[in-house]
Amino acid sequence: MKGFVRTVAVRAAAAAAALTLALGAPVASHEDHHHAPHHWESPEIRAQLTGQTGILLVAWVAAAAAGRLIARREKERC
Amino acid sequence: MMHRLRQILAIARVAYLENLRKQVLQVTLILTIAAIGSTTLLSFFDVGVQIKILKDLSLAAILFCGGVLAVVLSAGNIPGEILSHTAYPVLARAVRRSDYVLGRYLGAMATATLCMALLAVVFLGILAVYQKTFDWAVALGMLFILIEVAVVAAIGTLFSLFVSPLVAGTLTIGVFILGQIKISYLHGAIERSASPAGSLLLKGLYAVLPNLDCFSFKDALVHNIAVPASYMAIVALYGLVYCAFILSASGIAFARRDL
Repeated sequence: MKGFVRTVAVRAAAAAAALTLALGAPVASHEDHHHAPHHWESPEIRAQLTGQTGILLVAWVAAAAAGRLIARREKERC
Repeated sequence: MMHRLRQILAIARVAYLENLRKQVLQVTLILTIAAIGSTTLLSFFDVGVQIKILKDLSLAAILFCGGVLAVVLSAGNIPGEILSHTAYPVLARAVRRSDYVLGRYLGAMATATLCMALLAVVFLGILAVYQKTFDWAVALGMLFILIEVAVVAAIGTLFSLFVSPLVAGTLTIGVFILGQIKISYLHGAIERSASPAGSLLLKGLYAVLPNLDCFSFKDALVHNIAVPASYMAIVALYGLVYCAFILSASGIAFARRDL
């Protein structure tokens, strides 16, 4: 029981510390939010995302085909 | 096809029930709800400012909680089953290894979705009390946080197939943090970098890392800025395709692994 309480207390303290750090960041960034450009406004980022999605789509199709081939070989071996 | 789907759902259900019992999940959830609730104590601001602070801090807390959930649920998901030998009876049956990976991932995501839904109910409930209306934009923003969690969990699952759960967790945290600052800081760091080797390293990192900060519409939600629907569709598609690719790669990696 004592060990359980200690474990929970340690985990809660670690999580609280991390949460405090994480919550500190948005408060600090409030001052300069007017200077930083938003990602949804940037055509460069939009193009980057579209390009990466295309590449990932091709890679996914290739990976899925390779996975099917491996599964077929696995089945034949069995 | 239906038989395979039933197998995947059965594996996902077991993973979901196992995950619900994890202590770290409950502690993170309670702390995040406490963090969201504590923002209502800032009553010395006027209502407009208080709503902004509530949205800002709560979305940050939910994103943090989502990151923790993604790391905790994915890093030990499959290695834990192999170490405890509970994966072997399942894999000895006619279950594809890629289906096993997908099932375990879906189980982890079902748990994460449940937690995020609980947080959404608390956060949107408090927000509705202040604004007197239901904020659909914030609900949509939370959906994008869930897609981000799905991407991080997929990466964590892939890492967990190659290294120990602890290393996989650490690497996933690293990807989560670097992915968050990819556009805002790494992009600028490449331009400012003086050494060619450093610039090359940063460019490599930039190409490999997922664009996690694209899933965050916190600034738009806090300051009521409209985001184009077409951009949101691209981001959602990017997240889903990223997950699909990483899971396919994980399936191949697990199928080739000697158990």
